[in-house]
Order: sequence, then C-alpha cells, then structure tokens
Amino acid sequence: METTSGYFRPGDSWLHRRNPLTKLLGLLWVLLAAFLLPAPVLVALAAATLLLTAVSGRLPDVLRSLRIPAVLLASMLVVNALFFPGGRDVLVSLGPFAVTREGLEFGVVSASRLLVAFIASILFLQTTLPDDLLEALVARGASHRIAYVILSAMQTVPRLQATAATILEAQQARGLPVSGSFGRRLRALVPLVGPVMLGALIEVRERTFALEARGFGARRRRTAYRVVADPPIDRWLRLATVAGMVAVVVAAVAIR
Amino acid sequence: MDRSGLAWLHLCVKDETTPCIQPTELVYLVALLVGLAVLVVIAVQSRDLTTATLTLMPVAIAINIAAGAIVVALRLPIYLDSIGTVLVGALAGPWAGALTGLLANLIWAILPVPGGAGPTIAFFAPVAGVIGLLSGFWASQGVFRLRTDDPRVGRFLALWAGIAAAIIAFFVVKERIGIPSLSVEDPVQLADNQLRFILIALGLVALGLVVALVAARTIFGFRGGTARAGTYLVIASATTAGAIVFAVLRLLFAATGWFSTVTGVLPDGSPDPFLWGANLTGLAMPDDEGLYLVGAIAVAGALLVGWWATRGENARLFPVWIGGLTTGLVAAAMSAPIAAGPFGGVTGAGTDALVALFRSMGLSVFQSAFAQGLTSDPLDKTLSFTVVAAVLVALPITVRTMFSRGEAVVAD
Repeated sequence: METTSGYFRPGDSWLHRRNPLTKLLGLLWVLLAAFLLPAPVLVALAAATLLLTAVSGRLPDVLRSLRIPAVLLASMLVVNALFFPGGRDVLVSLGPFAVTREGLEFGVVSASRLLVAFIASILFLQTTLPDDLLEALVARGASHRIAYVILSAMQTVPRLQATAATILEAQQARGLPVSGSFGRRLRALVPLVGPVMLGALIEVRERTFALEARGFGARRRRTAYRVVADPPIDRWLRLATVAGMVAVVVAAVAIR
Repeated sequence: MDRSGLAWLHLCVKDETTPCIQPTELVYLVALLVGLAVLVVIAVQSRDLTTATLTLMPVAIAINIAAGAIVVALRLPIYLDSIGTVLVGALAGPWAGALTGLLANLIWAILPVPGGAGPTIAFFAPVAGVIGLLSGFWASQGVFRLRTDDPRVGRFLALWAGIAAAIIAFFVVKERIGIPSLSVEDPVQLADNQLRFILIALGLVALGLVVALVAARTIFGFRGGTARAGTYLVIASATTAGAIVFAVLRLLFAATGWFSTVTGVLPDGSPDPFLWGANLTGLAMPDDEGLYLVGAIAVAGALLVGWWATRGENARLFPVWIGGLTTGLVAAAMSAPIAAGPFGGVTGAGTDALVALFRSMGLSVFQSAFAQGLTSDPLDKTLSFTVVAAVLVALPITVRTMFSRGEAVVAD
C-alpha cells in the first residue's frame, strides 16, 4: 500500500529492525531532552541523532527532507534577529533593519531545538511503518478503533486529493472558469470544494455499513493478522530510554 | 538557607534573581496536567463512539488537512484547518470532536502533504482538541439549528445584550472613575490599584450576567410569540458588525491610534527600521473629523450587514457567529503560549507576517503571538462555523441521522 506509508522508506538497517514502540520511546526522549535541557546539550544531541541517521543509511533522505521546515527555521531566525524586542547589541545594520545579538541568539537556540526535534521525528517516520506502529500499540492494549481512525485518515488524505482533481476536471469540462483574477478563483471555490466535501461525507454511510458487516463493532477478542517483531534487546532498550527520560527531567529540575 | 534544595520551589516575585518558578512555567505545567486529564476523559469516552462516528472521523481529519494545507500554501493569515473538527463536534458530540481535532493535528504532522505545515502543527493539537469540545458544546446549544422564529435564539440575544452592557459600562467607568493603573511603582498603591481593578472587572462581569439573565427572561423570552425575534437578530448582527468595524478603525486611525506611533523615528531620535522609516502619522486623523468619519464607515458597515441579514434566513447565522467568535477567542488564548514557547512566536505560515508586525510595534513574543491569535482566530473560527452550518444543511438526512446528534443539531 503506497498511500499509507507516509514518510516510510523500506530498509533493513539496525534502526529498521527495532520494535516501533522502542523507537517511539527513543523519539520522546530526544524531544524531552531537546526542549528541557540547556542550549549546549543541543550540539551533542544533534551529533548523536545525525550519527544514528548515518548508521541507518538514511542521511541523504533525512537531509533532503530538511526543506520541509526550511521556511519555518529561516523565518524563526530572520524574525527574531530583526524584531527581537529588547535587542540592544546591534551586530549588522541592513539598510532599514538591524540584526541584534540577543535576537540572533534567541532565534538560533529556538531554531536548533526545533531542528533536533525535526531530525529525530523524520528519522523515526522514515524507519517505522505506520501499520507496524499501530499494530504494536494495539497488541499492547491500545484501542483498535482509534488505530482504524488514524490509518484510515492517512489513506483518506490522498484519496480526497484525487477526488478533488477529478471534480476540478469535471467542473472545467462543464465550463467553470478556475483561473483568472483573485475574485474569480474565490468564486470557483464553492462548486469545487462543495462536491468534494459532501461526496466524502456521503461515502461515510457506505463505509459504516461495510465495516459493520465485517464485525468492526464486535466486542469479542481479536487476533492480529500482522505480528510485529520484538527482539529481546528491545526490552532492555526501552527500560534504558525510560530511565533516560527520568534522568533528563531530574537534570532539568536540578540545574535550575 | 533552605537545606532541602527546594528553595527554588516558589513563584517569582517581580525582578527576582534567585532561582524560582516563572508564572508562565506554572501555567505550562497546569496546562499539561489539565491536558492529560482531558486526554483520559477522551479515551474513556471514545469507547462509546459508534461505528458511524469512527468512520466520519477519518473523513473529517482529511478535510481538515486538505483545507489547512491549501491555506498554508497560499500563506493566508488564517488557518481553516478545523472545519472537520467542528463538523464532528456538531454531529457526534464534544468528545468525538476533541478526539478528531487532536488526531488531525498529530496525523498532519507525520503526513508529507505538499505545502504542509510539517511537524510544528502537532504542538497545536491541544488547541484543536478544545475547538472540538467547544463546537460540540455550541452545537448542543443549538447554534446550527435555530431558525429565526425559534424562541431559543433569545438566549443568544441575551448573551449579546449582556456583553454589550458590560462594554458600555466599561466605558462609563473609564470616563467617570478611571481605570486604576497597574504599572505604578509604589507597592502599597499597586496593591490598592490591583484590588480596585479586580473589583471593577468583577463588577462589569456581574453586570453583564445580570443584564443577560434579565433580558433572557423578559424582552428576549418571547413568551408572546417570536414575531419580533427576526428583527432583533438583524439589529444584533448589524450593531455587532458596526462595533467591530468601529473598534478596528479607531485602533488604527484615531489621533492616538496605531498610525500615530509610526513616526519614522525611534524615541531616541534614530531612524525607525519599520517600513523603511516611513512617517504614517498623517493617517492618524485628529478628533472630531476622524471620529465622525470612522463612525460613518461603521454605520455603513452596520447597515450593510443589517440589510444582508434581512434577506431570507440569513439572520439565523447570528448564533453560529457567536459560537465561532467565542471559540476563536479561546483558541487564541490557548495557542499564544504554544507559539511563544517552542517557536519564538513564528510558525512558518502566513500568520508570521502578522507576528512580525506586532513584534515591530514593540510587543513581546507572547504578546505578539496573542495579538496575532486575536486577529486570526475569531475570524477563522467564525468562517469555519459558517462553512459547517452550510455543509450541515446540505447533508442528506440519511447521512445526518446516522450520528448520535445528527437529528437534533440541524433544522429541517
């Protein structure tokens, strides 16, 4: 299924073979450390995350995906460097604007925290199949109903986009002008968005009957079709990560 | 000295340098605990969701993400990413709506949607959850079903009357007694002023409540038939629109308004970098002339909205807008600390232009994020509520009645 995989890239690295829950806990640990610990720790954290990325052979892909937060990171840097209130120490005067040291520092630290968080998240997503993660969570007692909502939503987004493209062509064939001035494009929105939304909502009825016919609402114990591997080392890794989270929180409280 | 090593465990006093807890950090902590509690309630409630609701939720999430991604790509200063959330809140109740909002933002963060917001959107999941809760609440109050001849529109008119009374009373107090300043140096005077400020605020809220309660029982009770409800709705819509236009224009163009501060020079005499040192003080109109002009534009806006509301059943959107506006205010208050905390106020979307504008006016990170939210959120949620009202009317009855509240929520 191409559509459910999201950011996932198949592979057989060490990280790929870990249990999804282990990786999820590891990701939470990195997020916790990135936002709770002081700025110098970020360097070590970034190095460790990038090392893990390289070992898993995902470095080119992860670096390429950095264009997703590029706009955000750039605008964090620029807005804070230029408009930081209380910025006194002017570094560079760029015509009408001035880059202040306080603003630049604040921008760099905020952007770095987010960068580390993003690299860790994208590494997790690229090495973990959403189906496996949800299957592992359901096996641990999570609700299969919520798992259905998540997986189905991930499949519905591309399907909705495909429907929108079809309806766009259909309405154009009926003579709807979809280009031109801003006002004209705005007016074209209703005959385009209306059928997409209503069609998707009407489909809910058929899907409900189909699911009910297959015993979705049944309360009996269910068996799993997919079985997610859980090697013994993962148990120890999970214990270590939980201990690491406690250590991060204790350290964050202690150094205040 | 405290030997337990817990000396830092107290709230910071103003300008304190010893280790202490900032009030904002306490707010984050409380918010986290409340969020966890709400999450537990949602988890318990989600066991009772029907199959139809569970099938609706993915579609609603996809609508959120698709509409939101378009808006992000167009760099508009709004979001439009909660239409599906409001829809589920209306059809399947507040807890289903909250779950939809939470999941939508989390899934959006991990989906490679073109022009997507990326993982940042996950941080705003609690806001989306509360939007779902509030839309469920407002739907249960009937905002999506009240026709203009329904006696229950009286409650919304009464709420409007209470808010209007509190605002008028605020201006009377400001002119007659004066609002005590909270930025005085003297601690005794400050404590005194704080007490008076709180008393005045409580008094205004109490007055608004009393007016709302009395109005709901008398003029807006509609015991003698609802013939006049439509007229009242038109008047309420028109005055609200006029007041909003007047307030926004006065904030910008008054003699002491925002444009009067854009002088092109900073207080220390150096050139102001904002807008390349342009001097916009000419746009700050002196009083009387400026007041009359802004007043005339506001009256024109009020008449325009009033005329529109008299056409057909348009006036029934008044309750919908009350729901959207209040939901937007709550969303702004919630998203400001999130935007100010992890993101320094900047989220890479079209709203960043607004944040930069407020920052250049000298507001702090938190204040600019809040000001941006107050500008974008009420508008955005009002728009979303209006879209949902239209979708609910257009939805076939066989689909609508599959959901627990589908029959009760929409007028026939």
